[in-house]
Amino acid sequence: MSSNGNQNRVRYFRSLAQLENTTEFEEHLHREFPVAASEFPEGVSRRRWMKLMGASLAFGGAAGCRYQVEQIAAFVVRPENHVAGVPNYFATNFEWAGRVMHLLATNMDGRPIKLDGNPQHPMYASSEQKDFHDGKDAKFASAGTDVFAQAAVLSLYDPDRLDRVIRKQEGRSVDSSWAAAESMLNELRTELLKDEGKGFAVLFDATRSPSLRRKLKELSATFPQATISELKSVAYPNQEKVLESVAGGGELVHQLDAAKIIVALDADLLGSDEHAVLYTRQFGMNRTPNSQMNRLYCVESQYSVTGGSADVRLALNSSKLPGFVSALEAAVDAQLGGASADIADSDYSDLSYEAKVARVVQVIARDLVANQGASLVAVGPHHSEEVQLAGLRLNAKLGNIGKSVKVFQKSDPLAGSSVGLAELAARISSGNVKRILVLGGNPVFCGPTEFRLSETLKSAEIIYLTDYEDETAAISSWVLPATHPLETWGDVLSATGVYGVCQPQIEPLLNGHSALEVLGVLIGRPVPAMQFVRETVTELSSGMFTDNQWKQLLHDGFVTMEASLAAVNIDASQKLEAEAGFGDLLKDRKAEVLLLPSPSVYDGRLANNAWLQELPQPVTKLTWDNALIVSPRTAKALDLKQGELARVNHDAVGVDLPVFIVPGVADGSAIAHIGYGRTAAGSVGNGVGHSVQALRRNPGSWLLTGAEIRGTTRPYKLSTTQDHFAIDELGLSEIAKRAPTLVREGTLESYQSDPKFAHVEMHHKIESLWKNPAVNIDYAWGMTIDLNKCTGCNACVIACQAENNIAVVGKEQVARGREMHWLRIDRYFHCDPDRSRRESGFADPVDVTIVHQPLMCVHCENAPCEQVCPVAATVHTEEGINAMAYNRCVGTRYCANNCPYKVRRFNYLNYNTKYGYHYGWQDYRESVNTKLQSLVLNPEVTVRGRGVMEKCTYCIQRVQNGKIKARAEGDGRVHDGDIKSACQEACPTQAIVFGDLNDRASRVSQLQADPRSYSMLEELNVKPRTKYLARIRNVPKELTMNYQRNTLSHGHGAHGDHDMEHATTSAAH
Amino acid sequence: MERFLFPRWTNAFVALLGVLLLGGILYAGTFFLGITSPVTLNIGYQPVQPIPFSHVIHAGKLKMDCRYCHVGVDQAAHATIPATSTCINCHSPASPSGPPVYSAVHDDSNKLVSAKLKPLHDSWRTGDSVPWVKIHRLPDYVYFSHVAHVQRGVSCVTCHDRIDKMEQVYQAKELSMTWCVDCHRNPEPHLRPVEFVTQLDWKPEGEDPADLGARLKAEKNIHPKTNCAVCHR
Repeated sequence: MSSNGNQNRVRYFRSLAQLENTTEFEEHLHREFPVAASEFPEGVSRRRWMKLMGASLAFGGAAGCRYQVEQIAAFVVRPENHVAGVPNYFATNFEWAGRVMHLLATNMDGRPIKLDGNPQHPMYASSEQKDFHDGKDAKFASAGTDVFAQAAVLSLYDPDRLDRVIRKQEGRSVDSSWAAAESMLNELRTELLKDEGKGFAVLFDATRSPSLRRKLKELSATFPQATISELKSVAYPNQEKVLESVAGGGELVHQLDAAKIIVALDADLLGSDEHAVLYTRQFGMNRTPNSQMNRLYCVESQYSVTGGSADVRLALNSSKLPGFVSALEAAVDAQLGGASADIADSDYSDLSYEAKVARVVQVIARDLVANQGASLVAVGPHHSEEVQLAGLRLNAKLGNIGKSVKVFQKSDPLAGSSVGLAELAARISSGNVKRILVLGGNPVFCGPTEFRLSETLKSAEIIYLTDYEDETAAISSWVLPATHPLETWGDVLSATGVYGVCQPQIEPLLNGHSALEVLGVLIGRPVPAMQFVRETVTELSSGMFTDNQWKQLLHDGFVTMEASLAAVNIDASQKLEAEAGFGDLLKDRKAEVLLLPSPSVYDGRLANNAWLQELPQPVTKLTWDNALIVSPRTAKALDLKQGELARVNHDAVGVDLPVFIVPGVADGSAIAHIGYGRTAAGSVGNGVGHSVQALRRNPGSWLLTGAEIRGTTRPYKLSTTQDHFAIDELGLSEIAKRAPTLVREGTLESYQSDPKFAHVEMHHKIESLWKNPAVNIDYAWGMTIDLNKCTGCNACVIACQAENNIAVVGKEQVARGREMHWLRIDRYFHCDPDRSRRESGFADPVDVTIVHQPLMCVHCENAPCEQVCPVAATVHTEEGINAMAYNRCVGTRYCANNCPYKVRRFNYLNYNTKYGYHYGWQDYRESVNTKLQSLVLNPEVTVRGRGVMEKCTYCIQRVQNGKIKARAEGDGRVHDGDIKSACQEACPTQAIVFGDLNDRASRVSQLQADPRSYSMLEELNVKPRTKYLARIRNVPKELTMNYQRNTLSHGHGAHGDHDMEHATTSAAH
Repeated sequence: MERFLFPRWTNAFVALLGVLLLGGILYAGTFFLGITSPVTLNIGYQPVQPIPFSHVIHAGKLKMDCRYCHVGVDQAAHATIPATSTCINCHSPASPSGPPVYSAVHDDSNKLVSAKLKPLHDSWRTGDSVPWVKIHRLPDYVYFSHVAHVQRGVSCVTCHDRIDKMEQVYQAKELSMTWCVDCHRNPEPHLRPVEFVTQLDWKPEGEDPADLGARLKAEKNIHPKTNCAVCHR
C-alpha cells in the first residue's frame, strides 16, 4: 500500500455540516434511527401529512378474512391478444415538462403503470451503447428517461385533477357540463364568424405537436382576425434570435458522442437542458476508460448535474462568462493561427483564481484546436445573443458545425400567424381582445410578470382548458378539464424532425378533452383526434400514408424522417467584445441571481406530483422546497445562514427564499429554482416552497445581475437528505485505517499507469465464522454501477418508486429521516484539502468536485441483516437475492441497525392509510374512495403497511417473471439482458447493469472483472453482489490538482485522518 | 417467627388453576390447530354463484378442455374466468330472427331454457360483467403463477381436485403455505407430461408413477425452490 496518501488525504464530505463536524451531523451518523422516530405527526403537520397522503398513492392488499366475498369481474368481450395480468407495451410520444419524450408505456390490464424510453427511437438508437460487440446490443437497448417521464403516471392518477366543467357566473362557480361547453363554443363560433374572429385570441402552451399547430393554423384561417399567441414558460429568446440570424431559425442539437472535447459554458447539458436525456446517453457512450473517454469541461456559476459529471469544472459567475468566452475565442484564434498554448509549468493547485481561469482558457483552447471537428462548445441558452453567437462561431471555426453541433431546419405552419406575448397583452389591455381561449400553460402563474398577465387577462373573458383548477382557472369564466397525454391522441415532432405519435393508453379518466378536440369544436370541424393526427402525418409524408404505414407507426411510435440540416452562416471575422475581468462580485455586496427551471417541478406545472416533490434534487438533496443556493463565502459575505430566509431584491422586486449553502457554487452567484410557491396547484403542491416568479420579468430574464441579497433572521426548516443514511466510517475507525473510502476515483492518467488502483488488497485474510449455505443454484444475480457514467440525474430513483410502490412521506417525515426511497444517490463533495485547510479551515472548500453514488441494497452474500432477524423475515434466495417477506416482518428494525450500507427503510407510520390500506377491523377499504390513486400501483409488488421493513429487492418481481417467461416461452434459460431492473431501464447512460454472475459472458460478469470494479466496504466480508466501477476523471495534466495526482491515483483514501477533528492517528503501514 | 401460610381454603385454587391451564391449552390447541387451520377454514368453501354453472356437464360429460374457457392458464399468472362472449359462443340469446341455429341452449324468451342463464344474457346485453364469486383465493401478498406450474406438468387436479365432478365448484385443497411448500419439497408425485395437464382423470400407464415423476423432474430440470421470494415479492 502506498504511504503518500497520508499527507494529502482524499476527503469526501456529504455536507458542510459533516466537514465542520457539527453536532447535527454527528447525530445523523450515530443514531441508527433519527430523532423521535416513532412519533406520530401532530397538529398542523399531521393535517398536512394526511393531505399529502390523499394524493400520493396506494391502496391495500386484500389480506384478511377468508369468507369475505370477492367478485371476479370478467370481460364481456375479451380484447384481442389480451391476457389478464400480462402487460402490453405501447410506443408513444408526448411533451412533458418542456421535453419531448419518446416512450414505451407498460400497460397493465388497460392502465399505464410505467413509462420508459423507446429504445428503437432513432434519436436514442443513434446513441446506442457499443461497448459490447456481441450482437446483443439491441437486446440491451434501454433508452433511458428522466425523472419527469418516470413521474408522469402519478399525475395521470392524481385525484386533484380537474374532473368537471366549471362555469363562473356573477362571481360564483357552478358545475357545468361538456354539452353546455360545446354549445358555448358553437355560439362563440357563430358570433366570431360575423367579423372574422375580431376580439378573440388563443393563448396556447408551447408545443411541438404538428397536429395542434396545424389545428391552430386552421383556426387562424377560419378567424383571420383572431390573435394567436404561444406561451413558453421556459423560453430562451436569445438563443432563438441567434439561430434566426445565423441559420434562419432552427433547432440547435448537439451530438455529444461525436465530440471528444465537450465544453459546457454555463450550459447544463446533462441536467436542465431540453435534450438532457439524449445528451446524457451520448455522453455516457464515451465514458469507458478502456476504449474511449471524452473530456467534459464545465464552466458555470451554479453546481449543476453537468458540473458534477465534468472532468474539469471551473466556478465562474454567469455575468463573467462573456469575458471568459471572449478570452477563449482569442486563445482559439491564436492557436488556430499557429501559436502554441501558453501554459506555464507551475502546479495548478497553487494558482490564484485569476491564474486558474487563464490556465483553463489555454488548456481548453489547446484541446479544442487539437480536436477540430470532434469537439463542441455549448453556451447556456440564457446568455446574451453575442455570447451565444460567439459559441457558435467557435464551433464554426473548429469545424464542428454539422458534426457535433447541428442546426436542424424547422418549419412551423403557424409562422407568421402568431404574435408574441407582449403584443397579446397589449391587445388585451387596449380592449382589442375581449375573449381569449387559453390552452393550458397556467399563464397567471408561469407567465412573465412584464406583461402582467394576471392583471390584463382579467379584463377579458377567459375560456381555459386545464388539467388542474389552478391560478388561471380562478379568473376564468369557463374552466374545461384537459386530458393527460396518456389519455389522448396527439403527436410530436422532435427537434431533429422525427415524427412521433402519441396514442392514448386509457380512456380519459376524469372527463377531459384535448386541445385538438376543443379547437375542432370551436372551428366547426370536430374531427376525432385520431383522424386528425392521421391527417397530419399524411400531410407530413407528402400525402401518402397507407394503412400499413399507420399500423407500423402505432407499433414503432415514430416515422423515420429527419429534418435536414440548416446552413449556418457565421461571420468568422467578428469577435466578442467583453470585459475580461474575473474580479470578486462580492466586493460591493452585490450578487447575481440565476433562475433555473426546477429539477423537480419544472416551471411549477408538476407541483402536485408527490414523487417529484419528494425527490432529493440532484446536488442539494433538497426535498419539498426550493432555496437560494449560494457558496459558503457568499453566505459569509452577505450574512446569510443556512436554515434562515434571505431577502432578494432586484429592480424593486423582492422575494424571500431560504438559504442553502453548497460548496463549489461561484462566489457572488445565487441560484434559485422557479415553479415553487404555487397557491392553487392541488393538495400536494399548494404552498410548497417560495415563489420567485416575481423575478421572472420577461421570457429571457434568467440571469439577474446586481441583486441585493440580505439575510433575515427568520428561521425556515428545509428538508434535505444529504446527511441521511451517512455510512458510518467513524465507528469502524480501526478498519477504516486500512480500508479505502466508499467512493473511489482517479485520473485517467493514473488509471492508465495503474488500472487496478481501485482494487485494494486486504491486509488480513478475511474469513467467515461460519460457512454460508450453498447458493447460486441456477443463477447468481448481481449488479454493477459505473460511477464514471452516473451523472446523478435521479431517473433511477423515481423509476424505482414507480416500479416498487414506494410511499411518499411528506416534508416533515423527510426531515425526520423517514424517506422511503429504496434507491438513494449519495452525493459526495470533495475538495482540495491543503488549500481548503490553509485558507479557511475548511469553512470554504476550494476546488470542489462531486461524485455521485447510487446506493440501494447491495445484496450481501454474507448479509448482516439476515443474521439478526429474529423472525427470518429477510432471507436469501438460492440465487443470491436478499429477499424480504413483508408478512413475516415484526418491525424490530435490528436489520436496519445492522446494515452497514444503511439501505433499509422502515414504515414508521402507515403511509397508505388514506388509500384504504388498514388492518383487521379497521379494514374498511371498500368504503374509501381509493380507486383513482391506487391505479398507479404495480400489481406485481406488495404494498407495505406500518411496522414493516423494506428495501431494494433487485426487482424480484421482474426476476421471477423473467424466469417463468423463459421456461414457458423460451429455451428455459434466462439470457443476459432478458431481465432488467427498473433502475437499469431508466438509466440514460446505462451506468447500472444487472445480470447473472454465473454466466461468465454476461455483461455484469465482464464489468465485475474490470480492473475498476470494487466492492463497497469490502473489508466487512459481507460480500456484496453490487459492485461499483471507480470513477475516472479525464483531467489534462496541466489542470490536475495535487491531491488528485497524489491520492486519487492510489485510491487508498482512508488512512488516518489528519485533517479532521475525529482523526485517527495510526497511518503507517 | 411465624411464617406466613396461605389459608387452607386456598388449596382449591390450585385445582382451579390446573383446570384453567388445561382448559387454556385445550382452547388454544383447538383454536390454532383446529378452527383456524386451513383445513377447517378453506376446504369446502362453496359460495353461491350467479349462474349455477356445472363443471360436471361442461368439463365432465362434454369433455371440454379447461383452456377453452380459462385462457390465461398456460400463458400467465392468472387462469382467468372466461369472458361473457366465451359462454355466448354456445349460449347465444335470441336475435330478432329467432334463436340462432348453433345455439346450444336457447334464450329464455322462447321458454326452452330456465331463467338460470339470465345473468349471462343480461351481461351480454348491458356490457357489465357477470358477478362471479372468487373461490380459490390466495392472499394478495402471494404471487402464484399458473403458467409456471401448468407448463411444467403440474395438473389442474393437483390444486383444484376433480373439478369435472363438481356440480358446483368448491375449494377442495387447503391452498395453505405448508401445503404449497410440501409439494415444492417433493414435486415428483405431482408431475405428468404437459399434454395431460388438463386431463383430470389421467393415470400413468406402463410406468411406475414414482419413476415417471423422477424422470420428468430430471427432463424438465424441475427443482422448485422454497425461499420466500418464490411467492412473496
